[in-house]
Amino acid sequence: MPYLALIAACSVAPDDTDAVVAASAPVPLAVVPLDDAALLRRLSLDLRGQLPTSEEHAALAGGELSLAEAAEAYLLDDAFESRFADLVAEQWLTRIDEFNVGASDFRLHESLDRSLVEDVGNEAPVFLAAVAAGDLPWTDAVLADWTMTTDLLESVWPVESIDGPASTLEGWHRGRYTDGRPRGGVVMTNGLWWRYWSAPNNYNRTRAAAIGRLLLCDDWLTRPIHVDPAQALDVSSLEDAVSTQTTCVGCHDTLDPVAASLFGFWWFDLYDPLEMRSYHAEREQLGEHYFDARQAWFGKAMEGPVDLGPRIAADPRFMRCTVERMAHALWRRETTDADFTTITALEADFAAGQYRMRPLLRALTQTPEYRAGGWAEGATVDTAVRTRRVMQPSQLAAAVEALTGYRWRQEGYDQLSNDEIGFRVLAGGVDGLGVAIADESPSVSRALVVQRLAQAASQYVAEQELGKPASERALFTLVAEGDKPGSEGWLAQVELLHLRAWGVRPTATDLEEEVAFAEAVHAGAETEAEAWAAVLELLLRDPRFWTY
Amino acid sequence: MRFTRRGLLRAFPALVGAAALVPARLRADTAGERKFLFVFCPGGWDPAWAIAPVFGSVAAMPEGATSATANGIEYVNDRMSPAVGTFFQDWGTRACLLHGIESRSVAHDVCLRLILTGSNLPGSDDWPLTLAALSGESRVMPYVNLSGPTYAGPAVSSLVRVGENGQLAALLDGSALANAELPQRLPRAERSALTDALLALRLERLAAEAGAGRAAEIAASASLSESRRADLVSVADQLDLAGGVSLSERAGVGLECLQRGLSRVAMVEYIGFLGLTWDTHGAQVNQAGNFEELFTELSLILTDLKARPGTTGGTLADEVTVVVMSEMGRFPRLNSRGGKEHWTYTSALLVGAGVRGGQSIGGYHPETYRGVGVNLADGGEGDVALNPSHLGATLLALGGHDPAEYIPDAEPILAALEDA
Ligand code: HEC
Repeated sequence: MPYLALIAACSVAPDDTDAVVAASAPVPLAVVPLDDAALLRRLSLDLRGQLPTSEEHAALAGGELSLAEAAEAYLLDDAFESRFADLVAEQWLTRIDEFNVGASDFRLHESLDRSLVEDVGNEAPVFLAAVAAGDLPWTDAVLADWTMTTDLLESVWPVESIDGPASTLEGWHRGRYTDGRPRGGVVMTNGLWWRYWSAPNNYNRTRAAAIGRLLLCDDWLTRPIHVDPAQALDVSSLEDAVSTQTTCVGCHDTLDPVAASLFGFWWFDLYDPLEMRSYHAEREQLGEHYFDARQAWFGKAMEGPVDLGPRIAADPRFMRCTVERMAHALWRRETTDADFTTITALEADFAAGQYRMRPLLRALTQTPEYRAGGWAEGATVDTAVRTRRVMQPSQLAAAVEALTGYRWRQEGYDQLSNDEIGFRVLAGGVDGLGVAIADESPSVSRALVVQRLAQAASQYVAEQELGKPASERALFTLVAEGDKPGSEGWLAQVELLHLRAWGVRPTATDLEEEVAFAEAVHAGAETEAEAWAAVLELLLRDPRFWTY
Repeated sequence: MRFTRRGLLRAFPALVGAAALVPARLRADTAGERKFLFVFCPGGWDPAWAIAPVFGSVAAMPEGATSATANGIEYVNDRMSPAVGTFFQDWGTRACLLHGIESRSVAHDVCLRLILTGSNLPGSDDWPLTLAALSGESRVMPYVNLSGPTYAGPAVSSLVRVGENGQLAALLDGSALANAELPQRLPRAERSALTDALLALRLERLAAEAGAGRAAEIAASASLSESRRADLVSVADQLDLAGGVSLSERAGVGLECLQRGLSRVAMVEYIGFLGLTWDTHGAQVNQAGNFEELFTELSLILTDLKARPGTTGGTLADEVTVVVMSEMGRFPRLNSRGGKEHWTYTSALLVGAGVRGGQSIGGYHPETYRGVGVNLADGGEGDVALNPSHLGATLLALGGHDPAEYIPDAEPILAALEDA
């Protein structure tokens, strides 16, 4: 796709676009869309990371809420910003478990270590989420002269809080670096470059490659490197080869001039907190010395790093890539050449919305692929189309918390968002390093994580609520003390649990089985709460809960 | 009517099988199948510092080191890493070195994916997982990953990641709930059995009714994963998945899983002496420290293999191939910091069952430092430039599978196989 995108960007004049589109129009997908209730659930989980409420389900069923209105409400929901940060983080891989330095390197108490890791890993995603949630043009992602920060980051980095719109993310607010770094949005954040660090002799090439991959979808690295057999390695250093061997020049001719613009972030020592915290304006020109090449953006000269953001913003691959990445996020698969037409159409929607994120996401949720729930009779099935999706760990944690109030934490760690003592990868998520692609299918370890989470959360909510008057409960609102399995109150409550957890009412078979099940549990149970916990656990471990 | 557990089981006969205490798959016959232990060295090792004696080439070699041979294997005799020589003296007859494998990139992420899957496209299963999945559905944890990189696509339900600090164990024994900030205890065993049974019934039904496409895939995989989960819980108290600290101890946990038939493939990573990493852009000498510990530990692992009973009468050493590898090699020259940069060619070590030992296949060109072409059939010089797919094909062949079915673009290195 990037190459095609490039060709399109370079060679197709705007008025020719229709002709191109018509010529390459794909065969329409033979998919059957989800029914409304299931689509409501998908929209809610994708756009705000949570399940629909039972009121929303009822409103949809009663015709008082349309899917379009629901999507709109979810895009404007307070949880949208956090969900968007999750989607970005999944692709940008910044939420790793350890950076080169930790809290104690800044003379902070080690109990702040985890918070620091989280804040650093979140800077880039939270900043991008603020651009999205603030309805700012996406060019701000690489042009803004502000970032997002926390009190903790301000205590270790040269960044100060500034006035700006409030964030829906607890602890985060707008800030600005005070170390003289040029404006440049995400490409001028410590958070990004702490993740994509570069060894001194790598000269920021890792970082330049990250810019290509993350912002242009043009990855130098996906082209294979073949050392030219015709050219002997009769050079004293690898650096000479880069500019003399034809094989190397092909990539390094464009890579190195971008890398040259990042020397303000170049560290002499990879583990020195003072080196790492600040931008080094005095090093900005060092790259030209090391590479013997001027700073440039794909052949266009740059005066200095101050030009980097504007060059990215003006590069047509940037918006195209943003569309591809968001399509990937919502279709849950990488885009391919076959998506050319759809991506082009979405790009037009993005442009029409002045490159604001919400219109793009809205358009994406209207694509047949997004809405696909199954296949037409006799259709050729393509399993790459995610007619069903598996909740990511962050969605699982949020959905369970919204239902039960239970958040799985230990020693200050959120257990579904770390891999030091937690279960993010075991639950199918990415750790940003060893595991860079989320599992799209269930696994044994995921089944175990879901089982334990379901057990803890169900027990927690049952014990918390059943002793209280019904008016003070959030989930077990319909059952009264002494309601036996199969009784009217009991059945009403089970129906509600199904609706909340699965988004549908139980079938007669479901109910019959659950009555029998609850009676069997009840027989040995010490408390009513235990029997209710068992029923809820059963529902939460079922794929009808954790897929959508 | 009052339902009891027996009543429930009578009402839903399918539950009886699902709730049975001895998991059927633990009795499944996978004996004799070749098993694998992967030892992964992330960061990019430098073969020239231990296993590729490229003296007289462009490569900087350890100071004072010489070339030496043991059991037909040439290695680098460096006083900083005597364990390398000891290893080949003790195990060289069973070891085969593969040199000059081109991983076609210089970035860790890309090389990792390439060396483990043969492709830089996302979504494919890596070699360990491919081998594990070919074991069929009969194992509880076909691929147990104790640590190290994983690339999982369609076969993810065959992969069990233990977590870098053995977190899986905390899930299994319930301490993950007991130690939570809002602590919870595990449900009573009887309640759990009932829940598991009804869930299994529902999953089977969903899988049967799921139709086509992703929904069907997910349902099938959910059902299989859940039954494997239940089996794993039932044997968990016999395993110490979080146990061990050193490489050989952690590998021992993997061997335990192979020995019990729970797994076909295990992986452990080795991040270097004191965790100092293989990515020696400075202080090349750390490679020596790493190789010294690596080979000391490998000797312990092979000893351990010999001490464990096999599934077909002999010892586990007769059934397990140990694969030791890294995602890249290092540029031949030292840089200004006394380290070496990344290089696209690397080596791998196969040792143990099925391996034709006592040989090194391939090499490094003394001037270009590219891999030397090999003849796949006899291991001598030839015109095949080794790449990760050749490694993958060789592993599949070792596993008794036809590589052509899974890796169309490469043939196995037959010369490395004992019974080719
Ligand atoms: C396909 C594009 C491509 C080609 C061809 C290529 N490189 Fe690179 N090179 C890269 C990228 C991208 C990076 C940064 C990778 C990273 O660090 O993540 C890089 C990094 C490097 C580095 C820094 C490596 C380090 O150890 O950190 C050196 C040195 C280098 N390349 C040399 C070469 C030489 C010599 C050749 C020719 C034999 C070559 N490259 C060919 C893309 C390429």
